[in-house]
Amino acid sequence: MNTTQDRAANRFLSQLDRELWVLPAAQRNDIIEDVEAHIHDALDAGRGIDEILASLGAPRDAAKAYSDELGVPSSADPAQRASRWLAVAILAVGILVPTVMLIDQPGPWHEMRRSAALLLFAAPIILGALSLLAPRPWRTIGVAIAALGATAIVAAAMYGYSDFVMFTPVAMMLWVGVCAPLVASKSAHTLRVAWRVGGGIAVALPGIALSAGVITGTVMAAPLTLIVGVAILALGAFFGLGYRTVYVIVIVAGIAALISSLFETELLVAAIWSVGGLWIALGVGALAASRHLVRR
Amino acid sequence: MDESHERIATNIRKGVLEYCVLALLARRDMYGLELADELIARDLTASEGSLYPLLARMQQSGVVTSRREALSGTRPRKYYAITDDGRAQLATFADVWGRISHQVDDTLGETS
Repeated sequence: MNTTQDRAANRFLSQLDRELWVLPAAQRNDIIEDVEAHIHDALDAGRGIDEILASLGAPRDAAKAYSDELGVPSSADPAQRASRWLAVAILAVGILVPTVMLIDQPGPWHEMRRSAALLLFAAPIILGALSLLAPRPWRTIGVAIAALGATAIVAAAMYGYSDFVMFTPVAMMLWVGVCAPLVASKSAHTLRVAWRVGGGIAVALPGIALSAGVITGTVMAAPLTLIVGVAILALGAFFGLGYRTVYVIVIVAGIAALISSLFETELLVAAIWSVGGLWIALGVGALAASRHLVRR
Repeated sequence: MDESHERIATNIRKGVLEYCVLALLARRDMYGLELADELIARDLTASEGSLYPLLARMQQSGVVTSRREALSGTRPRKYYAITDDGRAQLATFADVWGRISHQVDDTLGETS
């Protein structure tokens, strides 16, 4: 092989290698080896380098043919992208939650020993980071363990450690992190619809509770209450129908709820806090599982 | 006219290329370029670009295997061989193809 041929072949091969990034390295090396061997053989058979490369097609098209044949969509696997995206969101909630708590109720933090306070502050962040940092084969299990752990902590809130209610959003996010990648996988169409509709109902729950309260007379039918109740019901309905803008609105509303719980009376803090966590988790989960997002 | 000719041919070839590869490998093991030359000579594929990805998939699904072999004086080459699964698939395809081509011929015959 002379230098001109060499250069042209190498350029083609390195471009192909770059375009094949969606495939695992071992598979990529195999492909490059095959194509390289083909070029050598064809040159030996007396064909020109330009003709050989032309018949292999553009590197990008060749790479697409490989990923189509090998069953990899040209943008990476939706389930994988969903779980990566979720891991970041879980970590964000893990940071948001203790930060809001710290601003909201600095009292308990001061009363606690420093180590306990530090642990309480760091725990949600660690739980969130676990889903991001766990090596791939154990990632699903890692998130599931983190979700169980967070749920156990929330359960402890019912037995007197009421401050642990602050873990509710983290626990919900982690459960969504367990489920959403399954829902996002390509074949799970029915599951995706069920996820969306179930999510819509869950989003509407506070609205449903509020309506029930108004009907039975336990909640005063103030205009603001009615507006909020109807807005939440509408949000749930559009969520169920699968409007992606609504997913984003639900996430924002969830964050707003977390922050607004700062200004509520003791009694409502836990409820609004949990609803905020639920909304963030549902919105993020629905966004992660929706195909449009993962298709670039 | 010529363009639609090419388009129709490409579409049909796409579906049968895999089985033509199996049929060629059922006779003897071949390396990549050999297969490509043979398929092009038979006008069964227009480009080599689609052959290698196809071979990668066929290997993944277990209808062909590959091995490296250096015949005296040549570079080591990757030879492809058909597996038992591949032979079974080839037999199934031959059956299906026989029926379909027969039906298509019949149908075309009726219209002319």
